[in-house]
Amino acid sequence: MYNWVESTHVVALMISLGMLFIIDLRMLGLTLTNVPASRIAARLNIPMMIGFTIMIVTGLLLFFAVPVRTTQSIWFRIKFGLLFAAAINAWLFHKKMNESVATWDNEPIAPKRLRYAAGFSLGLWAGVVITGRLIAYDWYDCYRVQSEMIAWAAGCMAE
Amino acid sequence: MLGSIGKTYGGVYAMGQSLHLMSLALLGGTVLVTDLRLLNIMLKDVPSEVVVESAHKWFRVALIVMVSTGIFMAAAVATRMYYNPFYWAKMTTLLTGIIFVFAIKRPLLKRPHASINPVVLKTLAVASLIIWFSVAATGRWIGFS
Repeated sequence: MYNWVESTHVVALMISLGMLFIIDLRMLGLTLTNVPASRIAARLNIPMMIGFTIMIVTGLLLFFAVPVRTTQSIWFRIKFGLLFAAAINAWLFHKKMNESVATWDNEPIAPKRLRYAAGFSLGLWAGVVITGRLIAYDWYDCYRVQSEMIAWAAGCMAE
Repeated sequence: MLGSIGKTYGGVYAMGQSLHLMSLALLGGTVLVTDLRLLNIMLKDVPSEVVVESAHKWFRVALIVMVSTGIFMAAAVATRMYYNPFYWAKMTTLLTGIIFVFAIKRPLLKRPHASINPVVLKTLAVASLIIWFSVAATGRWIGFS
């Protein structure tokens, strides 16, 4: 069962991040430049949110399968922070886009602030994928001898 | 040499895996946008030729990164991969996908889409979705066996 949930998590990542990459690349003027940016963002938002929902549900199931080790994983903690930052960035991005889109919608490239937000989005999600992948490695697990800083950051508790 | 780098440096191997995942996501995005447009589900008010051409450029980038990082990853665990049935399943679906895109889908979609039978377009899109989602799923199962 765990394998099926994890495979679904990866397929959902393919859908949600795939859509997000296309939206961000459009804002950066690197694809579909002859299609209004707001149209790309609005239409791709639906499959992206479906993918995110499946990813969150399967992510929670994966977390509750190994809650103690995951909670004490430094990579999981960083991933969670990056997810939070990506969510704030996405909210700000949509707010700024909706405020100004009428003035540049047909331009091949978005204004500077939105390009920065799209770049941040790509960077933050790359971080989420990297740290998500690193959770599987036990280099900084609590059962190993760790420096005080790592042990603190991972929330290791003395037995 | 690739194999010994992957085996010696766990961090480099993990970066290869992460890049592989990100390129898979980009590839999935381009496939979804193209095929959902061909199925008339998404971006119906944008000419399908525009969507197909724009998406294909990034599909190629994603495929190159995915195959390069895949070779790097497989080189580090080559013997294990050789005896893993899911590795061969993924290679089969991947090869099918590459042949399907470059020998069937691309040549067909270079023609004006209005001149192509809509049933053919939809069949093409469904086949493409099945193939590329199978690539992702079989790829994940390599790690489980």
